[in-house]
Amino acid sequence: MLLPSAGLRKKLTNLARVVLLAISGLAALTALIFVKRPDWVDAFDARTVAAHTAATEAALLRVERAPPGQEIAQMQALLAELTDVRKGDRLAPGKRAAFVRLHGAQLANQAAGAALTTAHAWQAFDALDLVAKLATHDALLALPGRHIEAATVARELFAVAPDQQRFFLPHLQACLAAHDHAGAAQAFFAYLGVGGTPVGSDIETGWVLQRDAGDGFDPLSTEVLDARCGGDDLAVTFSPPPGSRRLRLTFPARAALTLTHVRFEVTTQSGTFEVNLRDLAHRTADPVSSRGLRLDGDRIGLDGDDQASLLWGMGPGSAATSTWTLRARCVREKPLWLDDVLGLEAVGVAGRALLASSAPGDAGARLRYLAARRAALLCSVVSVQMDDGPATTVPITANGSDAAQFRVTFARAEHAAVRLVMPAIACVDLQLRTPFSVESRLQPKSRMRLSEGVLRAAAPSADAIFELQPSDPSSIELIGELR
Amino acid sequence: MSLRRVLCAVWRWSWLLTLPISIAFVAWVRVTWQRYHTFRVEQATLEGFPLRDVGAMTLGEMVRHLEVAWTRAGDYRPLPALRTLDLHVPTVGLARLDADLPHSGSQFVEAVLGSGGQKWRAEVRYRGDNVYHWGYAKKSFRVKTKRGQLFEGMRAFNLIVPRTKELLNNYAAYRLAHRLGLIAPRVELVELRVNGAIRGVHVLTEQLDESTLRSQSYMPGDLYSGDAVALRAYVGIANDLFRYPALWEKQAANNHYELTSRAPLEALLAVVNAAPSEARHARLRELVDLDAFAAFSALEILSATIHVDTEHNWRLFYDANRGRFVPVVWDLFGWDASNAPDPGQGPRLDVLSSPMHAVLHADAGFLAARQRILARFFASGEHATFLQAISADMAAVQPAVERDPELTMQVRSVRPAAVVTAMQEMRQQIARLWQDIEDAYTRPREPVTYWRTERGIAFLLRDRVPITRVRLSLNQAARPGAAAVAWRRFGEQHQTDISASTSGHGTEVTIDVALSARHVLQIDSMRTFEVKVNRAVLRPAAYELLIEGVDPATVIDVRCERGGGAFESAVPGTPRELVDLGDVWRPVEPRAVRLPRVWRGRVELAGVTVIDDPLVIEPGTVVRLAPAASLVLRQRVLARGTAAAPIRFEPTDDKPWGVIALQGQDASGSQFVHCELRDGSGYKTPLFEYSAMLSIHDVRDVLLSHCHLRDSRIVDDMLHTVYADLRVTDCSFTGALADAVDLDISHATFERCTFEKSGNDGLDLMTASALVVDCIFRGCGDKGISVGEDSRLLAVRPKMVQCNFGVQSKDDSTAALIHAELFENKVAIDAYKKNWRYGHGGRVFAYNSSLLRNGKTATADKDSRVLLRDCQVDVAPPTAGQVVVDGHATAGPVRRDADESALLRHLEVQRDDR
Repeated sequence: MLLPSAGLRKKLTNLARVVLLAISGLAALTALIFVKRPDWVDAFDARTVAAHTAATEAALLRVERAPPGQEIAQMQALLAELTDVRKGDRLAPGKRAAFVRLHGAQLANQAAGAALTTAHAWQAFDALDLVAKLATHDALLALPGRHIEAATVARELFAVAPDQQRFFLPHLQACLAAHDHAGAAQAFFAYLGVGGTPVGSDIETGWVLQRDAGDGFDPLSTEVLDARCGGDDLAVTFSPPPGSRRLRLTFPARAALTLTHVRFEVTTQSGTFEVNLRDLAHRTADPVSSRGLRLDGDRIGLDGDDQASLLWGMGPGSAATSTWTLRARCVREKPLWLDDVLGLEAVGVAGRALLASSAPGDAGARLRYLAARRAALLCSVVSVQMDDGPATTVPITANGSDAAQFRVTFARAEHAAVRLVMPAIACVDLQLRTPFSVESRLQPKSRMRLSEGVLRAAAPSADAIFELQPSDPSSIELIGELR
Repeated sequence: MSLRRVLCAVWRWSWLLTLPISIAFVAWVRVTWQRYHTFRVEQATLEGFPLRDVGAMTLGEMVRHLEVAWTRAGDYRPLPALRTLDLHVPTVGLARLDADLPHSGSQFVEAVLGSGGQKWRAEVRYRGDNVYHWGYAKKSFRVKTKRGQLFEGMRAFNLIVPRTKELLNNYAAYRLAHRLGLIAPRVELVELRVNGAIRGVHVLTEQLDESTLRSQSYMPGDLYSGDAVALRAYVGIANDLFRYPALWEKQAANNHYELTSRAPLEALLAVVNAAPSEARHARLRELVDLDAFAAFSALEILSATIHVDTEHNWRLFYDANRGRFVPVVWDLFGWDASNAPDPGQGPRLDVLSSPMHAVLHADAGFLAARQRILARFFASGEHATFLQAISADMAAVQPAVERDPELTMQVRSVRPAAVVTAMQEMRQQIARLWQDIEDAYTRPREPVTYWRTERGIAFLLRDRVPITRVRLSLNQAARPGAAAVAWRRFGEQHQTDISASTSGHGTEVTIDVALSARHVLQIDSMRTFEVKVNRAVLRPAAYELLIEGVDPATVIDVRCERGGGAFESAVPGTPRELVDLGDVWRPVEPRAVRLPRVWRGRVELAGVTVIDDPLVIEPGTVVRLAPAASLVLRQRVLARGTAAAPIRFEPTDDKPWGVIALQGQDASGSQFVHCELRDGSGYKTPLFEYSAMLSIHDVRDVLLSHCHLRDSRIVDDMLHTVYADLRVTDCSFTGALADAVDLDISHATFERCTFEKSGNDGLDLMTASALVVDCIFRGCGDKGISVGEDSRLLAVRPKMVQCNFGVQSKDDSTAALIHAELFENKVAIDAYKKNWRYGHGGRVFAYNSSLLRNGKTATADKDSRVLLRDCQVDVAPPTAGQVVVDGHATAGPVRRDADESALLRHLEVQRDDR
């Protein structure tokens, strides 16, 4: 074995000593920096992290500025670079953004097959990303012959989050395309968050009863009736309050159907007897009058009027308690509510969003719709008193009319807070201008937003309640507008 | 020596210093950079992993390793007070787990688990959502044994790394949960060794599944898990567990329903999202076990946690047999300093960390139940006992801490002394916190104020300690009639009937009623980490007590009990209007006098009839039920017919009716005497099921005497009980579609009963115990008596004739037969292991019995055993296996073994009990 010469050995040994000394020096320097200049360490840390993400951000920026046609290629190249990035990684948001853009660009270029591949890769990247699943749906929908798969995906998405418009609309459209009116109805009610269980394809809501006790029809007497449907047999039951002189039964808005074999069953303490439409006119002081409907023997035809109604007098015997049931057979082509949805679809938007944001001139129609759904838009302003003072309730009503304005004032000395209760009504906005700074205590799920003293509540799924605790020491004044 | 020579010597020997420094530095750089790059640069983890902390932590760990190696070399002996668990994982397996964290850690690899000289084949993987489970040298493991090799009754459990230097945050919270009677996983502090190397203290935590429920005497059912954070977070929607049922997963499922069914959860979420109203709270009480949720809330307060929130850590068990949700404790992370209230705010006396919490806190019944639980916790001395136990745990764990080489938490390497100090500080913190909670919940700060009104006596209550009883002293004797409490909400006056809570003796009237101050919920956010600011502020509440027959002017003194048993005088106050209670629902628990309904003659039932009043059915009554008609009785029923005039439950035509069901504790004490039931079936809804024509759920002290049940149809059982105890005498069960009697988690006595022609078993026990005396089982399609899943049977003079099996015992169950007669069965006695969740098979002990003309006398598999002592046997069973014959059939005595001794002790206890 050839050993290096003694001189060379010495040089190597010294070199090793120098290297070790240098490393030790570096260690000492590192320790010194960690102890004495931690800000340098933090700056290095921040710069390293920023450098890691900078390339991806720059690539995304380049894509935005890329000339048309090159966007897809660049995005695919970026995704190829990010292959190893997983959910939870620092670059995961960038990768997701790349998926979003690539998928959008592919769909825009009518490359639905490629968009589907992208969507699948996106879902593999994050199986819990519902937007990725929605992308799969969109791609499938754009592909010929894949609409059934698209409908399945839409249904799965809707099952996860029925209150999300972006999942509701694809599912609704899939149901309508498949003529699945029951499914569409169920989706509609689930989206609105108002409950409702369809029986077959029969959805009958929005029967409204109002009574006149002698001073005209009082909006506050409005009662919404739910119909029971078994097949085509319809039953609507109501109990007129004693003292009612006239009753008005309003049919569901825009209902287009024919009722046959119409009769009323009236149950009193003395027994049950039957009243047909003709008898209804004969046995009461006032004749039956109708609006927006056609009476023909025991048949009622409805042509889709907004407020088709039947009005009759109750006569002297109305003081007694009785229960009335309207029974009929129902002949129609589609569930009643569908008119609303289909009408909205015709202008390109569906559901709550349009109803809530339609032009001012449509407010009355919208409120009539709401009135039909829920009888009255009734908001209560309830003051929550100081520890031992009385509470006050001020009802605000907007029933089938245009926007209602209100102004309520409470003395601060007596009232600690003001509470506003808004009923669960689909498709309504409410703006409340509070001319004072507000510390709000929002109830969970109230779906209200408070910004610069203006409270905006959009279509709560349940009765929304919030409490305002004004800092103004003198009085509390609420100026509100139901729109 | 010249300076030059000295310098030369220093230079020559400098490597002695610079070499170790260089090696350590290179190692430090490598490890620091690797961790920093993985958990800081590449991943965005919860604990951040900033470079400065990672560097310091790595240096600390290196020093700690040197220290442990220097001071404790070779000292791997087990500790006296702490169990050591050994995991042997092949190096390649560990490498696979570490390859690409956190994703690679979720795949199981083969391993061997060892403890106390025993070994189990197992699979292990890393577990946990957050980096502290897998980002440090010490990892949290999920261990899963093979089905046939349970580890102390568990198939899956976790070995969890403590997250903070207090070590005991989760462990102590689980222990506390057990003391409060809540469902919580089994938990134990252990020292873990991986491939022989000590990895320090871990918390052995049972993985929640069906076995957890069984071990805590619940029927298996839906166990929902709500964790929508970290890698399990959804994108595209808010991860709000109480908005979207789909965010929940099932950890166990009720196999009577579709696996995908979430109907109970959907019903609960509908209540949580409903508008506040009395109806919402009535429905809430139907759907949740209010006492269990109150205990859960008490646990949250006592453990100072807000870790169960809108997004994660929820575990809910739906007990379909009671129709109610029960909370299951999981990952409370108690007494964590980062969740402590802001300075100056005092202890957190209400935890409002999710919409579910908000709804519960709006229910006065929930608040009252929680106050009772907390008051009992402190009054019983349970708090002191718990603190002593924690001290003992700390002492036990201390030696393990001192030799733990991996004391790293929250990107800090921690010294053992700091851990010990932190544990002691946590214990002191618990003691201080509990003192504050006890003061607030049990010691009134202000007396109750009262004044006379035109109609009665009004009270004003200002602090957290409620009124639990009121005593009025009158200047003349009175006979109190109907009583009510009046209160106001949103400007309207309401009244609740409490007549059943009112009693009078001479000049004293006592009213048992719980009245609380108003809890105003201040909820600013429901987001994780932000919920710590949510609070309930107490405001005065006023109630007016109205008692017929008591003139307010005659009241000379008012005293109130406030939970402690002693009465304190209320202070006369100035008359004022009733204070509005606002968002407090069900503020007064109604307790109206319930008059029993009486049925006589012919009663026709259609649809589902639910009766919430006591029911008396007179002799000779015929209850005719339309097809599928069901009767659910929630209060006590007395159906006492006579031999001459029995009570009959029969169908209106040839189609079967549904079910007669006793449901809930209020039906306890019900009796069916001389009743005949025939042609019933069952009743099933999306939320609950009655699987027998006579179903008894969660009812005590039920008597069936001289009853005849026959011809059950459509559904399995003729009589089914769950969470019940009953006595059955002189009854017959004939022609059951499947099982004649099915007992689940119940206790029953059968005397002089006959079970004939059952399609399946005559008597089927699951986690139940039964005493059977002088009963006959004839022509049963399967077993005369089936004793399964940890059940106990004592049968005296039973007769099993012409059954498929006379008696069969399985899955850690024991059957004792005394003076039994087993004739003409295909197999007289059988024992075997069926369900892997139970570590053993069945045991049957027969004494002085006759086993004649059977196809086989006795059989048993390798996990089971049968003992025949002093029995008459015509065909001797093979005695080489698990069947042991003593007495007439074989010569020589058989010594009692552990199983038989345990049985005999058990019988002794039963005899004493009787």
